[in-house]
Amino acid sequence: MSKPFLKDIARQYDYWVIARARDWGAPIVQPPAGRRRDDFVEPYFRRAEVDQVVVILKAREPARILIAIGKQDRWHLEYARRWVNQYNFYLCDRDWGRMCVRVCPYFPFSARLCLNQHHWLARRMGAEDIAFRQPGNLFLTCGDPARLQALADSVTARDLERCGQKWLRTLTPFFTPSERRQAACCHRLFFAQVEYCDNLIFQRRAALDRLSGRLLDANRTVGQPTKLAMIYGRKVTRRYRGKLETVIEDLKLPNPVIRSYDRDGSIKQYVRDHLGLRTEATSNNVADFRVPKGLQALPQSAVRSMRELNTQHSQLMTSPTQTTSTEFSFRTA
Amino acid sequence: MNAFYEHHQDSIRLAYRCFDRILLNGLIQPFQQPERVVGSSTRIGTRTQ
Repeated sequence: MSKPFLKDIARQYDYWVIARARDWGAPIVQPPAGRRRDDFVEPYFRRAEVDQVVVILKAREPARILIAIGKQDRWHLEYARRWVNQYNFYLCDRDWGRMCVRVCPYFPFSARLCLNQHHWLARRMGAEDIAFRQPGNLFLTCGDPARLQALADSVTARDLERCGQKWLRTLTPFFTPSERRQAACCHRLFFAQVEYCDNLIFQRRAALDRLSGRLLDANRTVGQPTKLAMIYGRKVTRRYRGKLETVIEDLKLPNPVIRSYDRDGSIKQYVRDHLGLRTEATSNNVADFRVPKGLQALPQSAVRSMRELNTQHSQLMTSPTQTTSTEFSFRTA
Repeated sequence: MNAFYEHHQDSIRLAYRCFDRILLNGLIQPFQQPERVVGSSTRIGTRTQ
């Protein structure tokens, strides 16, 4: 195995993608700098059919790849992090709707899947003829809220695994079915990031705008260690390692986002689509919740913990003890 | 539901909780050590042609 040989594998994959893209009718484009990719690919999804790749973004991104060091017939192999061209396949899955699969064409072909349960719920509610309105990444109305919650709670690791393996089999044509079966030459999936959100949809936009402004004013100190300790349920001591800060960000949403970081995760609160107040816990390392990162099962204890975090955060943000300088009168009705 | 919801329930028309974005990393475990890839790689080179 040599450097030219490894490069040739990646080149062959380039040719394969070009040929498949032609068959699928999906353009291969470079994503524009400074623009959110989700916004950029939006027009490609307008006429998307089920299980169709709609666009492929080719971009230089970091990946852990196998490199060969040496010359002629003496090569040393090692893994290293490099910026290489990777393919982001934006597609419309039968069950999960809009999603993205990133494949690195260099050995060992690492991959990343990006899914969103809102699209999964939209498909499930559509199949059950439940009326709903979903202008973006949020449901503003739903004909059967109880069923919506029941569906949301019913997702399993098997739903994720089935979808992930289906697309990884399609998009990594390096192995035969018997190699996948007998030599375990298939991708094993691990949680890289999980976001869990509580959504409150208000009747009137003005009421939520007023509430959101007051929440920001009254909770500028939510990032203090003592308050983060209340949210996360653990003391911040001198041995603490990791990010510990609270920021107010402009994520090009109607209102600013207030986000508190803790270790490998964060919790944020913001207004979505003018009517929805979302509190969202994010974990970049589910092992923080003492659950394995593998996708053998949905990390139920992590989900419970993230749900609890959202509740703690909401309660702390609205606790009268946190609003010493502002009268606690958030009622908006 | 929590105290926040109870306080504002007159103004709220829908409440639900679910996963938002889920990112999954995919790794081919037999290839995570360089010494295990040498035998496999020669076959792989021809698969996409």
